[in-house]
Amino acid sequence: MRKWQHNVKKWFVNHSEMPVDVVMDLPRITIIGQLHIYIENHKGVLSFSNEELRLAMKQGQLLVKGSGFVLKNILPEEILLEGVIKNVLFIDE
Amino acid sequence: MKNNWNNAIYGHVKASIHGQLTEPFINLCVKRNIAIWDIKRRNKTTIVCSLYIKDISKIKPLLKQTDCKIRFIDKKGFPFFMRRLLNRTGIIIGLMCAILIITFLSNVVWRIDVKGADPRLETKIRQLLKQQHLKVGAINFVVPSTEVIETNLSAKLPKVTWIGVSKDGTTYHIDVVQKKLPKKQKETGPRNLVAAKKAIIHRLFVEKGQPMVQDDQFVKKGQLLVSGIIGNENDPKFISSKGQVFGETWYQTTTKVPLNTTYETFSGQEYTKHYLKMNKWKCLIWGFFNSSYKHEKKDSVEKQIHFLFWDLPLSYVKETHRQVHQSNRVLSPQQALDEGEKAAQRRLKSKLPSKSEIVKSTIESKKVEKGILYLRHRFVVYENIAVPKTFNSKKERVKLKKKAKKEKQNQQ
Repeated sequence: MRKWQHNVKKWFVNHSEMPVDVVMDLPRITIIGQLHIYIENHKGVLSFSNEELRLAMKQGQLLVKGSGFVLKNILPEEILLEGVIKNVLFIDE
Repeated sequence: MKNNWNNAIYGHVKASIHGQLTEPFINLCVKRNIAIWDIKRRNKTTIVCSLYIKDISKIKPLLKQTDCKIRFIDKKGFPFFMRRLLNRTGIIIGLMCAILIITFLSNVVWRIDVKGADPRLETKIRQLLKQQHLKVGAINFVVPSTEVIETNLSAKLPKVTWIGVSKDGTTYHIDVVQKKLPKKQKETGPRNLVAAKKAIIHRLFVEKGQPMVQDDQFVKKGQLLVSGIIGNENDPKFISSKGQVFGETWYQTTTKVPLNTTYETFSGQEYTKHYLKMNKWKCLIWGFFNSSYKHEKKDSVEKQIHFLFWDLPLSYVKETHRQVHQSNRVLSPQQALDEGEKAAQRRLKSKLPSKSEIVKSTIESKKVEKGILYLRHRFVVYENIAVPKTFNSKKERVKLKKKAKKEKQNQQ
């Protein structure tokens, strides 16, 4: 059933002008140089330190690595991280 | 996104949160819609973050849930600023005083400009304004409205065609248009014209009266020139004689002309020094590094310092030092003679009445003594020598009758 739903969504995205992140509830990540990273559609902070931010996603996790991290702002759906960003990793479970 | 203004207006705190479950604490905050920002990790168990004051009470149960402890580090924003300000009463008092003084000063009349009035009328206007409490230093509440002042002034000043009073902040402008009446000629009683000094008559311009002298006639001081008695002896009429009598007069002058003169010219270079003066003590407050010139002239302007209405014993002195060039001038004999004559003529002309003219000038003697040329001039001048002299018409009538009687007796 779920797979079928997923397939419908994929078809819908391909055959309409709707953005993928809205339809399929995927994270939208905006990176400005190495300075900022702006993540929408996250599902909570798993761990946070000066060198690492681990976020829960709908599927799997997102890992951001770098140094001097400051969580500038955090809202239910969005997060703004400041610092020097080096890696952005998607971790599948 | 939090903007900085929001942060400045609402009070917020910087807090450190200590515990094992700091990330769940953040997630809980987000879920409960509690604004949390500027999160930094200090060590494994501690994070630092910013929170609004209004949310602090909401945080308490979350802290319990996640077994964290909070410690406030810094308080920022307007409410805290106000609280800190209130603790410093001095600042508050100063602020209040400043506001009071400014409001007071902006309600005081600082200047009254009177435009278009001659000095006499201006002082009168100022007096009238004083009666209506409008003077420099008066408080605006006491001063009547401009319309009232306008009507009062125009009622009391008949010589004025129009008067306009306007207020511009702390300044009152009074524009005046004065009536211009032609000068009335003075009625003069019967009078003669007599000679002011001895002279030879050159020309006569008689408007009224009977001329008693002719051209080229020598007259003495006080001699009758134009008579105010006209008509025949039996029926005399007395009028105010009027006219001009130009006579040839003579003047002698002596002039000194130094052959060597030193004179000073300003070079245009100058510097200023500013002092504060108290009684006799002068303290330099500006212009320390100005070097003085070899030859200079000093101008000083002193201004008293006022505080509100009182004169302080302090005054401000501004000294302007101007550089002076000294130069020498040597006159040749001819130049000296010319200079001397010019100077003599100038001096003579300033003494003579306006329509006079110098006809001839001759040098009587000249000698040089100790570098100074002494000149003696003789000038021939045409000038108005007529001076009015009033007479009593009744007495004159009696005199004339007596004279007529005598002549009759002589004839008999």
